[in-house]
Amino acid sequence: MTLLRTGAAIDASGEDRRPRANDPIVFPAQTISSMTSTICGPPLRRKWPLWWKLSLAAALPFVVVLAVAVGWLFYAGVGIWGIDWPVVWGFAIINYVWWIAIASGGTFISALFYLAEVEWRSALNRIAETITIFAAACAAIYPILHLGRPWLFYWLFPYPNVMGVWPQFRSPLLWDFAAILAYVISSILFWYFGLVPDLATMRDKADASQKRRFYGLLALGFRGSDSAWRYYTIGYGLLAAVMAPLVISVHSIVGLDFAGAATLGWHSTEFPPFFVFGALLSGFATVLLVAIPVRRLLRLEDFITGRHFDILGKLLLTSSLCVGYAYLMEAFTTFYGPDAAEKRLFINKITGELAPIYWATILFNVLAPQLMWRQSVRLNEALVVLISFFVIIGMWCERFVIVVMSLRRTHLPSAWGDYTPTIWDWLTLFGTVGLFIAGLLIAVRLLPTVSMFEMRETILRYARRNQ
Amino acid sequence: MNRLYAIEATPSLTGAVADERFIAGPRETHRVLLALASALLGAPPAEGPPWLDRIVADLKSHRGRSFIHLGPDHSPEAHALVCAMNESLGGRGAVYTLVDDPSHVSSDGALSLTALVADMRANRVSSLLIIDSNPVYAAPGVLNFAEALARVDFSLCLSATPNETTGASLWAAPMIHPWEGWSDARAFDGTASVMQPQALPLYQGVDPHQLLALLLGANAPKSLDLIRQTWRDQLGPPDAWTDALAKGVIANSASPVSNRPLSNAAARVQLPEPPKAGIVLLFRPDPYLLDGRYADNPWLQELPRPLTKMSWGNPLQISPRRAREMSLKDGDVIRVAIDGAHATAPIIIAPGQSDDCIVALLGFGRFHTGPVGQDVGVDFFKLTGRSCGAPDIQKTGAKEELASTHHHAMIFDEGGVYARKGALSQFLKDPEFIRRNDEPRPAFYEWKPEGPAAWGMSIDLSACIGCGACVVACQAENNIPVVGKAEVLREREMYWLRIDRYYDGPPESPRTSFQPVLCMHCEEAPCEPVCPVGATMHDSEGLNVMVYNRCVGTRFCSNNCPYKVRRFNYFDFAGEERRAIESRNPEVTVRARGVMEKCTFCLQRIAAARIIADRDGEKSAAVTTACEAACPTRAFTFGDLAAKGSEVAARRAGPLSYALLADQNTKPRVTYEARILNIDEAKGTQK
Repeated sequence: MTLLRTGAAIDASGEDRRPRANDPIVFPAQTISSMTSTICGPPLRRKWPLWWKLSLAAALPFVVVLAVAVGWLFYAGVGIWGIDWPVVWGFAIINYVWWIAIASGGTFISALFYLAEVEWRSALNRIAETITIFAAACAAIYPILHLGRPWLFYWLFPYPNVMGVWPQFRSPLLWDFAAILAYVISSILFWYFGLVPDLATMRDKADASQKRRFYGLLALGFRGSDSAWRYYTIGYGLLAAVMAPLVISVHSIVGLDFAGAATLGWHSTEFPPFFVFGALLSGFATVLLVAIPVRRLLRLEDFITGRHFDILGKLLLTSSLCVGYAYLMEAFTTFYGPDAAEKRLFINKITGELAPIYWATILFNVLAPQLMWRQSVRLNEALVVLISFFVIIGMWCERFVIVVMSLRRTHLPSAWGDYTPTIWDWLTLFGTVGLFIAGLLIAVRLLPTVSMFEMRETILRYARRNQ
Repeated sequence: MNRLYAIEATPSLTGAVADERFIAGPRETHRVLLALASALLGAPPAEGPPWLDRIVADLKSHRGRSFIHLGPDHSPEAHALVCAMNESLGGRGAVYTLVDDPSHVSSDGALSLTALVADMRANRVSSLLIIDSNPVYAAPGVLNFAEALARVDFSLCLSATPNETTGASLWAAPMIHPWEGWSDARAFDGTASVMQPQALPLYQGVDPHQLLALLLGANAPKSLDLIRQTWRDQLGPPDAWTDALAKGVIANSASPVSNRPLSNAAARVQLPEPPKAGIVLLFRPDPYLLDGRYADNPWLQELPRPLTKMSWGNPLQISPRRAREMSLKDGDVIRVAIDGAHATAPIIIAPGQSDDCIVALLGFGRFHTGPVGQDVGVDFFKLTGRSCGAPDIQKTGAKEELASTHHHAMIFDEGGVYARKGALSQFLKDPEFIRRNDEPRPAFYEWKPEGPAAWGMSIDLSACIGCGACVVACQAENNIPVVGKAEVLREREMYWLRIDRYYDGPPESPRTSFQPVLCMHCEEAPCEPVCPVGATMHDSEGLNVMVYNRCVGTRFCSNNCPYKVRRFNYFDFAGEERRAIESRNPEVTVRARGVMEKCTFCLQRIAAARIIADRDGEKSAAVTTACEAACPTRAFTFGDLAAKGSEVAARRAGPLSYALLADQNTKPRVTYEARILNIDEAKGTQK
């Protein structure tokens, strides 16, 4: 622990910026103007530090890899992946569910906590929403890549056509298609809508005319007039009210993608809430994982404080307990129910040749987050990063267990099979990770990382309270 | 009900369908024969294995109705002895008849292949004509035919495809396929048949009659004339020729039943001593490739072997106990040497095999053939014809992946849940015992078929012998692509119909069950509601149909199919097949990449029957599916469940009929009739 507290924890000014238990939501030293220049500073800076260039240089090759992997997929067919018979779903579905769950964190923090008027969210909602956008984008490509004939994906859409052919409305995949489309579109709208006043600030702060034009175009002529603000607040509230139920519905429907089938290991009514729990857990973990380095690298220590660590840590712990409950109930319902094949499958999951993946899921998603019961752990940046990383890995393992391990052991033993992912499976997965990281890097380069207009309110409210 | 006992060294289909099966290696078989001879022929007392008493008692108590059949690998002396036993059991005329051997087997040592090779080696052969035979590959390895052939000045090989012998001969002549020319043949009992061509030759070539006639001189008569000439005298009036062609056989041409008494010496014959070695190498023809003549047929290469479910390869079969002793696992490569010749091959553990033998399947490892069969598996012919001594077996440490379509070759104690079976005594006590525990389940939505017919199928598991004929018939009928070894290894074979094999009991001596599984055409089909584009749905006659050009390939239907009968075109498997376009069934769509496919109940045949019925104004015409047509034991019954007097409906209503995975409540249109074994439950051979 002492090792983790040395060196980098001390600010250049000599001030210790380690998160502490009694930190305020925003440090009183920050005024509105100092906050605005701190946030506007990095995107308007001409030259960016080495860490940014290096990270981008590391991430971009993976984007190229993704493009190659997708190109080869379209050319050669889904046979390049490891999917087989009976495991006809593989990485594409695992990764889809994994990414869409990662995306949930932003929506939760932005929309749900906005409606709940939670004060601390203003420092984190921009980061969280940006995570949502890129994670949802990564998620959204997988269902299309997954198809045997991806160029016909639009057949899932109920469009009028001369043949009078409609999609099959009973299929959970159709609900999923609708849910994910609605979710991605609303997330982008919500994120962009939340950016507009800040883009206007950037426009006003920018020194070079090019930048002024860039941000000015994006700001859509937002002038900050009273009426503009009035409509803006209403609009934002409405969007938040749309988003908050959407995040529940999208994950419930992802759960129904599985529960709607009669397949062993999937056919369970607990799946919709279970998937929401999983989304919460991976959402909070990702926000922590991204916010901690961003806080350090962009000098946001005054805005993302010990309070935030404390709260997010507790949220992570809570959602981890929910997920743990779901795991427990899965085991319980399996043995409570009458189906021998279900029981056989479950025993194979926990003791079979792929059991390490099941137990990794338990370890990473349920056991590791229990460390968060201790405040000192919640405030320890290195440990929080580690635990969050574990959760992200654990959530991927969980989807592997659900998708692959269930399909490997079907009702008839004669149809049992194995699953071995190929290099293209892995390259596509890492490719989307690269896309996500590159997206985040470009976003922090161009856009304000903290919602300034909301932060102003928070600072004002704080100042007033402290008077 | 009859009762079949099988005593065998290595598992066979006969053993699999036998009511009781006993394992006996070469030495044990020798003891069994001696003990049987002692019990039935009064030969000097010899002690057999304890289970033999039961068999002897059954044989004796069913005199005149019992029969012993000895496999072809045994010595002539053993066959003579068994003939004497059968004679003493008194079944001749009732259970079996003897006929004079109609074929001209060169049992004369002076005309044997060994003698020929000796002559060739001694330069006593200057010209050699080889017709439709491949001795360079398939002659016993000890003869080294290729080397001998090199000493012959003129050699000509007539063969339909290039092979090892055409490669080693001076001349290779192309032969037409037997279906493309006139010929004649005899069945096992001597019944003669005139074979008329089924198609014009696809490629230029000659048939053997033509070749021989040409060699005899110019102006050779045509094959048809030669055949007619042969049969003219026997057939008599010209009508008889057309009659024979129409019937396919020449009437009354079977060999007469022989009433000759058996020589008394048969009962006193001395059996040759069994091999002394602890483990011997047994050679068996591959069930599908035989001696390798069909190695270039991808259907037969890929078709899973009935028991091992192996495709594209011939691992050495080894008993579970021997494998354990030598710490060998499936796929471990061993080196087998015998009399200086050796082969390196992976092993597969064969449950139910004798510990005293290792079984090598012949017909693989072809080194001069078409692109399909070239270098698939290992050639064991080079080890044949050598001593019966113990082979030297060495582990090489290498491992090879085995392309088995049962991806989990494990002993499974719950096989009986799926492929149900029971003892005759159980059946007599309670005819419906097989489905006593299947409770009727409520349905949420009741689907009512509205069409004129309700297609269904019943599969009799007592009849199924697991041979695989239906699988390949289905493949031919429905243009199902072959995917090749690499894709079988990746578990992507495309069979619409598969035969599941289950083992019950200990690995050393399990009971084997077969179960053909195809699309069940469930009335409550789980595949249908999950497809987002409605590419799979029900038609009015209860068929679960697949609309290929609507399928986008989400593969959700396969996940939701409890029987896992749906197959996905991961690649353009059909497009990658190198085969003549004429070889496809024009009535069946060839499926594209990215599309799901499955059994249609031979929809094209149903449609054809419907057209005929429409034309003739009948309600419906009979439909025979490809699997049903190919099945040698008539295990399949397909038909209209709604039709009056339909056999399938009667079978479905029978006491043994049950639905696979009945608890899934899918209301399958395919039902099974449980297998009944004539075994004594009290003796504990069956749970």
